[in-house]
Amino acid sequence: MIAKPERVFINASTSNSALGKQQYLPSSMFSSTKNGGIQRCSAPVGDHQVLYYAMQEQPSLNKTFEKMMGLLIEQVDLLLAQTALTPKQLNKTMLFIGSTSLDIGCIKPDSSQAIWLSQTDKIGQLLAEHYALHSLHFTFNTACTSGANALLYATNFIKQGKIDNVIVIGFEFFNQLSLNGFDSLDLISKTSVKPFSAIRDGLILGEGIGAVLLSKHCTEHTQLEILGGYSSCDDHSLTITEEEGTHIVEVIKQALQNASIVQNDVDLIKVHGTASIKSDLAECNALNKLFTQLPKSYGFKSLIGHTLGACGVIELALFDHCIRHAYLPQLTYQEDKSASLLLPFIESAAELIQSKIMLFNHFGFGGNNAALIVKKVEPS
Amino acid sequence: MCKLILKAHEVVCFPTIMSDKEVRNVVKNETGFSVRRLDNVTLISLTAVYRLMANNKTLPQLALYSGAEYMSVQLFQSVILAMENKEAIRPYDFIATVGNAANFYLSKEFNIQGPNIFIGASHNTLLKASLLAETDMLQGHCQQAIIVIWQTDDKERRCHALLVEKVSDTDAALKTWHHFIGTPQELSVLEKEVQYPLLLNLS
Repeated sequence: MIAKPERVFINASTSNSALGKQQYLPSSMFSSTKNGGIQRCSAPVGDHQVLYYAMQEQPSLNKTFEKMMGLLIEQVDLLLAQTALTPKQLNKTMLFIGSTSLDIGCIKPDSSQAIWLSQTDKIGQLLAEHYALHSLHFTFNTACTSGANALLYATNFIKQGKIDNVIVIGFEFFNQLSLNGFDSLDLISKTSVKPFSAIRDGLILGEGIGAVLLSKHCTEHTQLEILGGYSSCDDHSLTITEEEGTHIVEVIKQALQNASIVQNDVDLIKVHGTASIKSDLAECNALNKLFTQLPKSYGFKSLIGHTLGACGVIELALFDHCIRHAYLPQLTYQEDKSASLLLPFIESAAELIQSKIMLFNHFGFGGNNAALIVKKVEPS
Repeated sequence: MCKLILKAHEVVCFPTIMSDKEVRNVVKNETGFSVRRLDNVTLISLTAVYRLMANNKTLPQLALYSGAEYMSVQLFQSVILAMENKEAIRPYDFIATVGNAANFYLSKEFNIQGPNIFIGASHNTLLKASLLAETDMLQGHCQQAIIVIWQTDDKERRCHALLVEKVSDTDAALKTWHHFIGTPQELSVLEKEVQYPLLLNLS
């Protein structure tokens, strides 16, 4: 007899990004640092300045390893404060990390060593030890889909009964390598991030941390569950998915099938929406191919920048936050009606909370494309 | 849980003193691939998987899981040094630093269409990659997977390529697959004389 797959609930979430710190506290219902909007700054690359979205309350973009760990521990503390996990349960809780740059921003050359990079799972190891979590932890590093893949495999581990609880963390800290690299590719906007706008002119990088607790049991406060998803590699190009969106269509179709959902059930798309010319075009082409009647969309990157490997977790945590508080951050670039949009977007919190089945898209360098299907939990 | 067997294993080693250009020549001569500008992490994995694929039959819906203790050491250290010296980063060098860059080239050369994941792992790498493979096999996304594991130290760069396959719990041959590969000696065991297939211990 085949066991029925477990359901996978998002029981806690927290994030720290250019929008501030967001967390859900059952006692006070709402905690958010909002100090006047998005934290936008710039950093030097060669002889010019490049725009960047920084986490709030951070005096310096450059961080030491200890500072990075402190920020991560702060977020996990905030996450665990929302849960009732006992030390014994924590010991059986796995940690899944998604990050592109890991601690690369604080690596310094050391001529006395042949290898002076950090081990790729150093941060996962330290966090697992700090919280006395399950000894097996995973660090996903698949460019901008790292966090989405961490969520996907954590979901499938729970669905298949391998584990009851998983802490999934996506993080990306400011680092000069990413900034210089994206600048060298001429992908960064000199003005603002305008996803799916006809006048979009590139992305702006951002830093942030997102953390969610996925569990097989829901709580009275649970709002969302992950039904399933899929990811695979488009070998069209190392830097951009195929522009007609063919591979994205395949990935979304497979994700829908894994979630036992049909296209028409999707009523909101959390777009990847970097605002780069070609990536948005590929996503737009794919969605138009897939849906006969296109559901409305929403995206976070004009608010927090492109947080690369962290965006899968940060954007899910922010979405959970918005659903819990019936709150929709306004995308001010869309107020310019001359900048027509390639996709219809939701404009109100009412439209957000009416949504029941959501598609979350994430695409990355190395051809990795990922899609997750998220469902609003019906009150019992 | 489903049962996974390890069907085949290849390991390729290059001394670290070999330059990328020398490695490229060796790889190009053996595989015939266009290897211009590829870093040594990608090059060594192309060779390992080439040998694995040449010696074994694979199924069409194939997945790829890879893991490494360090990112591409020579590449990362060179770009960090370049930034320290206020030198510009070349776009291609930056793109090559993404963790899954080698996975991309492996997928392209060997037409790997299924799930495709790179993880950072200093311990239990085979176990972790096998668990990811098992997860996708249970979902029906693949029946076979290639697992690639890179190891490096100051003397040698090494890449393991392994072919794993899902088998039925009731497969009669299970009785004959009495070897269990677990941690921590998992990869060193494979470099000894062993007879395949081996049953993987995922517990």
